[in-house]
Amino acid sequence: MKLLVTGAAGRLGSELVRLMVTKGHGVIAFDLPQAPFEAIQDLPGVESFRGDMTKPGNVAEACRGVGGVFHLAALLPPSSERNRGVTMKVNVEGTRSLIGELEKMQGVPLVLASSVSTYGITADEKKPIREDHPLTAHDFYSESKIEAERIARRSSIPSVVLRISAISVADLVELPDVIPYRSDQRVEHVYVEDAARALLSAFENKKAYGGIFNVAGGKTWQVTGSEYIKLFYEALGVEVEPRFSETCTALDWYDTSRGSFLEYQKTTLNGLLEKLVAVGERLGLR
Amino acid sequence: MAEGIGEARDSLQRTLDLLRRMSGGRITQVDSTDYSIRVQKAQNILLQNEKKIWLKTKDGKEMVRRLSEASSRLLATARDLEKSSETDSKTPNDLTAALKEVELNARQMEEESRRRSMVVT
Repeated sequence: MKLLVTGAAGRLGSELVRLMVTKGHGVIAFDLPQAPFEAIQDLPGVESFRGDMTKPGNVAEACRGVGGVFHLAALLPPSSERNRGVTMKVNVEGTRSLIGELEKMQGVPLVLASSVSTYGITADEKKPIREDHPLTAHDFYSESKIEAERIARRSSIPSVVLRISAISVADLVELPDVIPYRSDQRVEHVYVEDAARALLSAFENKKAYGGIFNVAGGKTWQVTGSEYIKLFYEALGVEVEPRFSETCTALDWYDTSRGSFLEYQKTTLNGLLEKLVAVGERLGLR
Repeated sequence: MAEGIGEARDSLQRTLDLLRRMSGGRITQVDSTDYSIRVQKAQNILLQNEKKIWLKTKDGKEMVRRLSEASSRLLATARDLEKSSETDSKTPNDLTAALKEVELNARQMEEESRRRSMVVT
């Protein structure tokens, strides 16, 4: 029985699809027609589905006969902040329509990719943020994710909510005009393969059903914004002059102990840096 | 600024100047405006991307080289067209072909930058 992944052509989605294929799962990879399917479409057992979460007919067709769903499709910042209506339509109504389809089926589980952004700006906190921290919408994206979580929790389907932190990849990532966090802000990213592992592990582990879990890199990843950027680009072999946000944003250190049984934290920050050194050499930057 | 970007921008600016001079002559005013807008779009992509880190990579340098060469060919084609008479071999179609090559390379640069942009969720 195939498993549906929405947002499958994205950075995290494509990593999840690759992981699922290595574990022998068949995958229906759902994403927008213009999404970059190249990285996943030829993988064994992967069926591409070009559709739109805002079209209930597309969603219903994609759900037909699936044994589980990973819902990653969403409008992300900065695109999500341009138009509240569009963000709600994609992130909230898309989730509602997906869950509506699953409720018609028998016990098909849902793993919902939510975000640590739902905690709001937590810069004044002293301890790492736990899953029972109050949720605060501070932008359209976090508002949409809080509502999507609420829809999942109130539904009759078995579901797991993962509040995923900022994703790190072992690749050259372009420096934005303004780094989306303050230089002295606590930040804890998670390596993309580890986040994908958390998603699959949450699906495979029935103990997770009904739960909400933070997904972040772990203690080795708990640094400040300036430390992270310095380490990242030094490892690549690039000199940068980053400009950081002047205000704190929705990224912090997280308590990930509740989800430790998902056993997804395999990559330390030093592990990422070693990969980046190799990338820098391959690209001719070092 | 990545090596070659300056040359590409210079070639595109000279092409724009030539297009303005040729307007109503070897090419129609309407075509001149259309070509100019397309060249300016390529210029804007260069401007937005000239400080990107990935242009310092082996692949990035190669992409800049291709765009710079395409821009030089576009300028050379525009110059030939300006000098040539109606019976000469260079036609506005040659200019269109050269411009398409520039646009293709500029789009590749834009797409690579988009792919490498930082997303924090």
